[in-house]
Amino acid sequence: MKKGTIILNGIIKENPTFVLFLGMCPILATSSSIYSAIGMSVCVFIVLLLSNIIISLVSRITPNEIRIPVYIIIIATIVSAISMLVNAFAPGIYSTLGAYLQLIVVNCIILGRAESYASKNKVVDSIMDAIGISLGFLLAMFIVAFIRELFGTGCLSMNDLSGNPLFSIRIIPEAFTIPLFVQPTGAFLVLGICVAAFVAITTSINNKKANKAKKLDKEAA
Amino acid sequence: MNKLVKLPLFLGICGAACAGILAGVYALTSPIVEANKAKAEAEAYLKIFNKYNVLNTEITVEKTMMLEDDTLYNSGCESVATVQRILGRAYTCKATGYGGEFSFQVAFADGKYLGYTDLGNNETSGFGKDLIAKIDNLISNKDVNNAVNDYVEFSGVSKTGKPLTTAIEVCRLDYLSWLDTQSK
Repeated sequence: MKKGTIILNGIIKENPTFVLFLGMCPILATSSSIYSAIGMSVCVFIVLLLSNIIISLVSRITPNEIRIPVYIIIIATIVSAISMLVNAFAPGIYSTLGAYLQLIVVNCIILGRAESYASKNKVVDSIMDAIGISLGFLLAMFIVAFIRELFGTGCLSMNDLSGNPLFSIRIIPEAFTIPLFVQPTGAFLVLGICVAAFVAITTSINNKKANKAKKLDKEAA
Repeated sequence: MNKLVKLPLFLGICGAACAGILAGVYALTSPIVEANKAKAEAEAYLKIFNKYNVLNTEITVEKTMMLEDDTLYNSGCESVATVQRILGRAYTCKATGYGGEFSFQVAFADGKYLGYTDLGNNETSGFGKDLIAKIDNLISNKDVNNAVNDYVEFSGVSKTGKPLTTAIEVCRLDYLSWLDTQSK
């Protein structure tokens, strides 16, 4: 499979959130602002990339009976290391993500891709898969966070790595904001609507492609 | 090699290698985290005394554990900053609420509550988080001779409110006794 196709698969066909329904917990918990969503997505990308590389390398020498415990040890080590590094160099992101940073260990995306892809493919392909899946996750996180922050607070804001505000632009007047969007209930609603929209769009595109292919077959016949 | 030996050995080697990596990362990041924490604490002290245009050099910080008792909701005071010129004191405290440990600074000056600064919490929006957000407004410029519970009500969030107000109350009493020593 072409490297570009692997990446594109992770974003569209096998989008971890909208198609595979993996990593629901961090999406719901950390998408209340774009800042935390991007922070979580970057952390997931780094963990996924490193875990895919290492697991792809060690899968050949790992005995089959203990492959899952070995993968979990590797993933837990990577997450713990990333957590300490984020605490040291990006304390703003660390305090915003809170416990959800350590919970990346049990994020289904990481172990799922490790077991289903990285352990069965070469290192380069595993890297491409990590990039694609992470981009798909970032896309989902960004869309949900954008909607929640915009309609929930009326503002779009960003902070620096220490947590100090960089900018905050008010788009919707405060009187017209819907605080439900920044609550957990709003997270479920927004995610559900986004999934429905994503499925509708991809189904429509696939149907158009299928109809076009049928037409071409008919004309050829 | 016998599987009974090979499998645990492989797992042990993996575990040991990962432990070594984590120890290395911890050794690298631990001093940076401590320096960040000290910097944030110093900046917060400067900010909380901002109203009096206090300079960094006027702040004397002592590391002291005033309160550490399980029966008192795991509250503790990590450091005390004194500003002689304005008879002000600020305390960096930790307490355990509903969402786990949270830290804050509370300051007193000129016989009044000066303010409250949140230094990080994992409380829930609509409950502990909202209570912490409004503490500063509730106690700022209020007479320090009155207990903090006279100004702060927390029905429905007592799991966070009680440790928080207990810690502030202990700081208030410490400030009053310090104020007595200054007036003598």
